[in-house]
Amino acid sequence: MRTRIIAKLDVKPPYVVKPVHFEGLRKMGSPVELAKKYYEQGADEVMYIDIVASLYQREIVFDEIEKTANELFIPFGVGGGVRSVEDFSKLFHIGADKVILNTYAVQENPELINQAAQIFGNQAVVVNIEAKKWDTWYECYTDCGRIRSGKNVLQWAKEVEERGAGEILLQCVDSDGRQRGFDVELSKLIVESVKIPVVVSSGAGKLEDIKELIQYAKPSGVAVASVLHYDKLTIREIKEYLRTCGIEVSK
Amino acid sequence: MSELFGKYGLPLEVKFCKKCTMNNQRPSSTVEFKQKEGEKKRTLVFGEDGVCEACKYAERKKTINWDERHKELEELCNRFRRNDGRYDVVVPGSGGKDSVQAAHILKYKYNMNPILITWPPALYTDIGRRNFDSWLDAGFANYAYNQNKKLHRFLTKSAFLNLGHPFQPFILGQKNLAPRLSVLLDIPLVIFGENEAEYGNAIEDNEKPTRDPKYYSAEISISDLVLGGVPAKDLIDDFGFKLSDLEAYFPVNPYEIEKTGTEVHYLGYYVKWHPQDVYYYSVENTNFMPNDYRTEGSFSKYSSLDDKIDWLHYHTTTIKFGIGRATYDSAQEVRNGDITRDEGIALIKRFDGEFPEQYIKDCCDYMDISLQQYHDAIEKFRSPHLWNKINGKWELKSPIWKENR
Amino acid sequence: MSQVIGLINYGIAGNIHSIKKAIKEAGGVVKVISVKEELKSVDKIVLPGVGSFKDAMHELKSDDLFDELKKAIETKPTLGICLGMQILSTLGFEYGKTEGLNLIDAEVKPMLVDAKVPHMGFGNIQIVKSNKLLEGLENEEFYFMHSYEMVNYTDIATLSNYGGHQFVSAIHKNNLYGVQFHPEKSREAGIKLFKNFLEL
Repeated sequence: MRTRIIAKLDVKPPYVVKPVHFEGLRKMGSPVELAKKYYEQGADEVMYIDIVASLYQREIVFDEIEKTANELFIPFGVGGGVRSVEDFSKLFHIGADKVILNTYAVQENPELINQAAQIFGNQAVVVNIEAKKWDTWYECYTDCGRIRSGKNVLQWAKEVEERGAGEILLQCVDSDGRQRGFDVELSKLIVESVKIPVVVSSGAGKLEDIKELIQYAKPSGVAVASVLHYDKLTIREIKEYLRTCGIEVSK
Repeated sequence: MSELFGKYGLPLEVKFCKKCTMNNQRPSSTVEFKQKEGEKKRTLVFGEDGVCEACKYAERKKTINWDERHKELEELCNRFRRNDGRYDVVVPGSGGKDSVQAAHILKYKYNMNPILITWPPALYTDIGRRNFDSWLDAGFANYAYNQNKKLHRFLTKSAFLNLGHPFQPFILGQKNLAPRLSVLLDIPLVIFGENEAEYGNAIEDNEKPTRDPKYYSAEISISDLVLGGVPAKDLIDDFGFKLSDLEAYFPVNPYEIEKTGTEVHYLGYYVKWHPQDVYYYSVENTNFMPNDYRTEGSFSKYSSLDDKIDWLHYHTTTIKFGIGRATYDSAQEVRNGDITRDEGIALIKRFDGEFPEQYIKDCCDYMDISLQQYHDAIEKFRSPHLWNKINGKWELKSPIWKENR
Repeated sequence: MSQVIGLINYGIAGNIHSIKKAIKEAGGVVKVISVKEELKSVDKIVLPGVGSFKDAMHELKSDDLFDELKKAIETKPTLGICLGMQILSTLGFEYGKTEGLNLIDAEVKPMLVDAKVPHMGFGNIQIVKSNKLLEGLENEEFYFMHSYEMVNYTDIATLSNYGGHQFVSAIHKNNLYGVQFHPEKSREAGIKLFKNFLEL
């Protein structure tokens, strides 16, 4: 089973930004430029998340998404501020292949997951979990990794699977953007608790980090951002390295 | 006070800066050790074009030659650097991002020998303590002056009840400690992390690298000193404190300053101060962490994290000036190009003036007052020209999200 | 050769955008079909796939496309993608039992496999019966994104492996083709597939 290597774009339209611990808005480039760059480097997918739409309580910026979609002939997951079936529909029509949601489902209406899965199919519904570590548990955070929900990540992961989500994107507030490695324990726990694919993000700093995560937690995919935006690694390098470690990846 | 001004001498009509989210009710920095009740405040100045001083300064910052300023900092460091094993620069702070960056670049980029000094928050937050440790973990030693708790609590309580400004004792001590230790340790050079003038204080203050001595030294007699709205004389005669107890709050004697050759500089003159950049620097070079969640009253996670009293402070500014943490934070971020003015307005609408639920009990316990006493006391400070009571709830008369452009 | 590819638009689900883009990249002209009358003017048909079997069939019927579409497929080369391939079947079992277009003797059932479901990612194809659509693409990888599979024993063009389980990844019957994977999401290999389709 090939582990997918995915490029994650955290977007504050019209820029791709790279927060650390979901804080900070340092500009890294334009979504169109970077999506194209990572596609050409061999990314298996691109994920685009408008990280401020929920925090600023504003509408989805469709233009930017459409322009980015136009650069890609690989799956394009899009999220940020998604609140309705209509949002899903509009996003598919401008080029999204999967729609990613978090804040609205966690804080207001988890039913949207069920509705969307039924209409668009489970495979098109991705739930983004922003996990914050406490002593004995992990909490689901929203609004760009800063607002508490009281929901337990493990329980929520199982719940969204039941509701029909087809994939989970697991991010960790405590390691995101720090480039010091992933939370492999949490990753393994979540991967093993659900039958749906889990893409793990947050923490890649060097090649060994990615290898360690895949070997230990066996996620369906790994999403990286900082190492790409700061030109520390290319997707091609990552895939070549993983192959030499005996890890199956796509061409 | 004439009819042209509201409480605190604030302008009656609320005007918003055309560029950022700040408004004309914002007071500038006060000479804290003289602050009395009922004082009229100098407020943020707006130009004819409706743009505030702080924004104008931000524009000016773009034209400054920072390479030259970097050279000036190098020269300053060359002047004071010691190679005999002694410390050569005092860096005050508490482990927040600004003091973290200041210490780090002075030691590792400018090859200085910083000693950190701390006037600790009355009530350290958990994240504050962790970041303090990380600051030292980055390779620094630190002198912390632990305040006379009995007095500090008394002053905090008095400052709150008399001035609606519980933060005053902290500010006082913080400004005084560095020059005091500079004299004590015989280290003339003091460099603070940022620059107060950034926030819209007298713009002239930004043209120089040094802090005006009027803020930290004075030939002052005890009859002039007022702390927490209480004259020092009363503190001794009526409240049982001794002159020596007040040491930390007294401004430093200018003679001592001169003898040591103390110079208080602020890094913001030499290094372009962009709070988010400072945050990035801190997380990239040390174990600094942002808050565990959104800071109450604002949207961000990276500033002013270490003192529980800070949460109350912003509540009092909301009551007095209609300006909360989200307004301060967003104005700064708009000026620096991190967010747009409209985005700032959305954030203010959502978070500004949020009641400091998280630490109110701890702070009230510290001040030995009940929650009801807190609410009663704070009403004294509410500016009538800014607030309306609608259906039993206080609402701002002219919030920024209702502004007509 | 200015042939027109009719891309069937059924309701709110259906990733028209990506397929349209890929066909254009391959050099084709696309016309999005929402009403049955428009079927007459196209040379070839592409049936996209996002959504559920049940909803897709419901849309086709309520949009009054069902009958015309079946007729058109008899004479015009057609490519069904993912769900678009699945609805060619006799019966589908997603959210209850639904009748499909019944052009391929098959049933669409949940993938029962000891691996993550939905199946998401790049995978190989094993050509069982060579055909023009997949010419030159035997060694390429294609992107899969599905929880259901087509179960049939006839008209199989390619098989694929996932989690130790073999399933039908492409079908072919006369001028009717179906692929379980998404060529519009499969990089240059996918574009080549569309080129092959255009050249049929």
